[in-house]
Amino acid sequence: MPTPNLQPDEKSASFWQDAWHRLWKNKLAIFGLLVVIVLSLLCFLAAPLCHFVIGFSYQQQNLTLGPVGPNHTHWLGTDPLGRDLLARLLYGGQISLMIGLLATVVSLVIGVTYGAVSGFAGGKVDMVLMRSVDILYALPYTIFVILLTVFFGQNIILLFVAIGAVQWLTMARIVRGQVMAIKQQEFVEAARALGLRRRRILFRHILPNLLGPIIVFATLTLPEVMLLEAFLSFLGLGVQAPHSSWGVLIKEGAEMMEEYPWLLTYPAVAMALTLFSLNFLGDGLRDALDVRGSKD
Amino acid sequence: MIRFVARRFLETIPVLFILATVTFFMMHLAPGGPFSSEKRASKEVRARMEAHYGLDKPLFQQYLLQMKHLLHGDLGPSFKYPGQTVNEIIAETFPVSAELGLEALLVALLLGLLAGMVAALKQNTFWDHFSMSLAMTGLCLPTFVMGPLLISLFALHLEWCNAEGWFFPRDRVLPALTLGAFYAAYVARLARGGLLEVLRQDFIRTAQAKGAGPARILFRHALRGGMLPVVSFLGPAIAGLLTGSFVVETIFGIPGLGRFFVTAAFNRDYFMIMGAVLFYAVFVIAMNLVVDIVLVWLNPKLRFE
Amino acid sequence: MISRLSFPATVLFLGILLFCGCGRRQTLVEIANQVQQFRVGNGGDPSGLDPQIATGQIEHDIMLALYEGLVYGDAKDGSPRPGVAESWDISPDNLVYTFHLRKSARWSNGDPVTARDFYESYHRMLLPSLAAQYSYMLYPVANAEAFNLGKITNFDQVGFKVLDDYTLQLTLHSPTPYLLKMMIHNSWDPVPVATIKKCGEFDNRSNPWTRPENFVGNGPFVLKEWRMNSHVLAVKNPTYWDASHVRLNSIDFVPEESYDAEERMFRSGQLHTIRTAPQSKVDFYRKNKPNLINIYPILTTYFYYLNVTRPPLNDKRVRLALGMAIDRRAITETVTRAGEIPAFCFTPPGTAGFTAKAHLREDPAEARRLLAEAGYADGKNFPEIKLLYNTLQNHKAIAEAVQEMWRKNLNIEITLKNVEWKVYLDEMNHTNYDICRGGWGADYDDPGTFLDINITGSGNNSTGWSNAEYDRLCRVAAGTGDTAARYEAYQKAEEILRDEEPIIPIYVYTNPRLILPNVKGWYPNLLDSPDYRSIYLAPETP
Repeated sequence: MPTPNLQPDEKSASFWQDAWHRLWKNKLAIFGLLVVIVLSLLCFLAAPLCHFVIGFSYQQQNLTLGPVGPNHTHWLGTDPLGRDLLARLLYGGQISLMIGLLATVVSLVIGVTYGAVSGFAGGKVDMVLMRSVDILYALPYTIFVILLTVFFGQNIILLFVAIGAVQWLTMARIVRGQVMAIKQQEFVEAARALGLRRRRILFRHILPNLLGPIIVFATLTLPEVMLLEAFLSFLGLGVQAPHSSWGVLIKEGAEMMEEYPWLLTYPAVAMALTLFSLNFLGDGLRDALDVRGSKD
Repeated sequence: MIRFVARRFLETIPVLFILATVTFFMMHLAPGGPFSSEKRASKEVRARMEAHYGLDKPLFQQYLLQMKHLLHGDLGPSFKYPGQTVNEIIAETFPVSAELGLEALLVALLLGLLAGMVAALKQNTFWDHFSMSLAMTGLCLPTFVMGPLLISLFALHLEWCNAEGWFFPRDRVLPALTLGAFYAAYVARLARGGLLEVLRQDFIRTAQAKGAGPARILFRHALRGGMLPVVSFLGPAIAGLLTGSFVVETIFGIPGLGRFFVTAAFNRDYFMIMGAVLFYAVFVIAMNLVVDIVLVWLNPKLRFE
Repeated sequence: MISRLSFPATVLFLGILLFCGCGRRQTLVEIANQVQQFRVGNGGDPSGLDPQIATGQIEHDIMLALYEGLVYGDAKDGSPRPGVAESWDISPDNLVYTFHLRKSARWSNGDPVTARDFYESYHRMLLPSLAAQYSYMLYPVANAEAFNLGKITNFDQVGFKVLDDYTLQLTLHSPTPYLLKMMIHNSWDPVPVATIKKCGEFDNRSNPWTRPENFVGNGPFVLKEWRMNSHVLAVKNPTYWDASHVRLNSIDFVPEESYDAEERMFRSGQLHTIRTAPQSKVDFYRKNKPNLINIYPILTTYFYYLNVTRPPLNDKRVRLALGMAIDRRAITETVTRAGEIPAFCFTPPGTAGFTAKAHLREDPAEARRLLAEAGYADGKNFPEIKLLYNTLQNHKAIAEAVQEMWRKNLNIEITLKNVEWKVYLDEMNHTNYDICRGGWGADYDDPGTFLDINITGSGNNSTGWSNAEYDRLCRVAAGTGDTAARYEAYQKAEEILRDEEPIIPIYVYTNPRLILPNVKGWYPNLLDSPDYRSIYLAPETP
């Protein structure tokens, strides 16, 4: 196809560049993005930070010191065993974010595959698959997560698989809707006419167009997953010692909220900030990419 | 509509059956049984207890027996509370959870709709950002942080209500707020989005041109359409309220079913677990059915598919 | 603009007004004080109120109000006092006890409490089909164990005899000087046999006789209401033989499981007392409100089980090293902080006047030497072992502290394994662990209740440890009524424990109870059993 004749001061903008411009205008979303990047960097660099900057590891106990409020040595204070809160916050964040990411990836993989297959296949297959999703959607899945973690030991892998496996439903629905919409479009007809195999059409032509909604909903799933992990920690089911996570820190802090308020404040603020930021970012992305969900 | 309901009913039965089966085997495969205790009785005594509840039979036989009981609606005895049956426990505790859930829903709807309306009507101004941020707090503060904070403020410092328990009407306020805040945030978002879409439409502009005041536009024309996404969210929200209640019931010492369910899981109280799981499933499916019917009533364009 | 927002604004305003409408009201405790109702935070819902089936402390405290056995525990020191039995004779060989029941003892439905009632109650308790977990409390009686295990089926052969309506005779299998102390426990309480038979099968655990509408009991209080997860209400029993001395009118047992929630209830004036303050608040109360907290030692030891069947713990030197490398004072002063007493022997010092002389030493240098001798000099090549505990804040904190102590003192790395309660019990009971946290509370005030758990083959021996001499010493102690001889045997047994160390004692529990100063007649005792007959509520000082 011949390239269109453009005026010199008109730039050709791709879909992504357009989206980025829109996002950039949304102050809250950019703020969210920055916060997420900074926090993630801090958390994943926890080890070197603890070693070089903070000077304490997350395990180091100081029984004679006990719990003290924020001061020069311990910038965020210590817990009842004398462990530095900032170090624990960073390590906990690493685990919380990792669980969040992995669970989101699990739900992504399952959801996208399921939805794409359903939408692309159409007909009876689609009907059966989607009806199953509808029914599963209706069940209180948290109950199962609780049962799973109570019964089968609390290893981290099971935890994020369990959490991720319950979030895939929405993703499947969204993806299926998108696939159905895209399927109607001309370039797909063209590909079919050219005799391309169905799998090739699916992977090379349709899936790339799904990137938008997938990114949005992944960004919005992450905070839900992190909250779910905190919820499980409250029930005593989430991350187990010696690991820690923001959920565990918040739970322990909430128990001692009146005597040692810093133990609750800082982890709660960290978690809230992350959740806020992810939500604003997700909202912004949704506006920017002009994605509309069938159900929120 | 009758066909719709009947079809939904028929779909539910295999679902419940699969659910019961999965739950059954999951429970029995879990380590630890209902009768382990720190002070160990002799093997013989334990064996007698297990025989009393039929736990000594081969697994598959127990399964068939359980299915048979379930078909008759008999949920069995509780291990932890000998002398009480699961049916009785659910009958006593569910109304409390239901009341809590309804009140939380009310809070969610009132606060959420308010925030959403303000945000939509004053889109992209300070009020929009402010109310949406406020709504967000519900989303980002876990219930087990908000609960103790509210208790600390209102019950312990101001002494306006009891810290725990479900004795007087005013004891409902803090738990309902804590549980509802999360859903208020969702409702606010959905209401805002839904309202914005509706307000953009032509018939609104027509009404405005015809001189209708803003309140009239809002309540007679926009709200009905704007409520659609809120109502369709209610289905999963109800499931969420049920499970969210576990934490709230624990924090506030509320005698509801949620707390029972969690302790049953910890105690390996098999019949109680099964009973609670199936009860919740049936309840949620029923609620979703109601929501679907309401949706069609709200928006005649949809139809029972 | 005004009209747009007026409706939602009014709703919000009204809502706030409604909320504010509740100003400062009378607290539940203030109301209760006026009607002599004792409001107790009981720590959870009772799983049942049948004294022969219920096993936990939650149930135990309620049953102290609802039933009375032949004897009951004194309020101040827990020693046995005449209950339904007004006196008793003990034969010179200490094998026959004859109890004379008081003729004024009544059930709450007016029926007299007779010797036959006790006889039938014990029959039920020992019936194999009832599967009572505490049936072993009756084993001192001749042939009781055999009957309970189904070896004999004729209950007449068991050492209980009804001499007449008000005389009950027990024949023991061997002299048991602590028998009366055992009889304070609710497993020895009588049950209303006629009522049970009316409500269902005699030996059916699910028999609904304990429901409020059916309930019959012989204690100072009678069950009035029992709503799950809500409360258990017991009101004064007018037919109780000593009702004139009971001053409370009712007791409300509130079933909140979380210590934190209970403490909030206490603080906001909903409860007179809670059994245990949350660990993080103990310091606060000790410093700022010492008149509200009462910390007292109880007969329970906190320790770690060591699996002696698995290397490297099968080597005595390793076990001793581990025990010597823990700083117990640091744990009790900085981790648990409720005035617990560091323990260097298994039986809590002073149990029925017995204090073990064999003490384990804390000596990190010696520990390192022993470890080196065992082949792990400086912690090198020490295999990876796990420390198992169940989910509870205290256990976690202590485990983390101990892990760190072993790392610092012995240079070994152990991993922590946290599982929930049922899984923990399973692993512990099957000796499927390396190191496992344990706690043992006395059923009655005697060193035997502690030392017996380490006997070979005991149902409660979770370490797999076996020592013939230890078994022999415990048998000797159980077979004689001579306290001096018994305690001498127990001293030797404790020595063996110190030498072989299948368990590492850490501390003796104290219980930090929160209780309002206007609650009178409550005294701390080692078994932590309140006596509701003597408790009353004084008018609150303004």
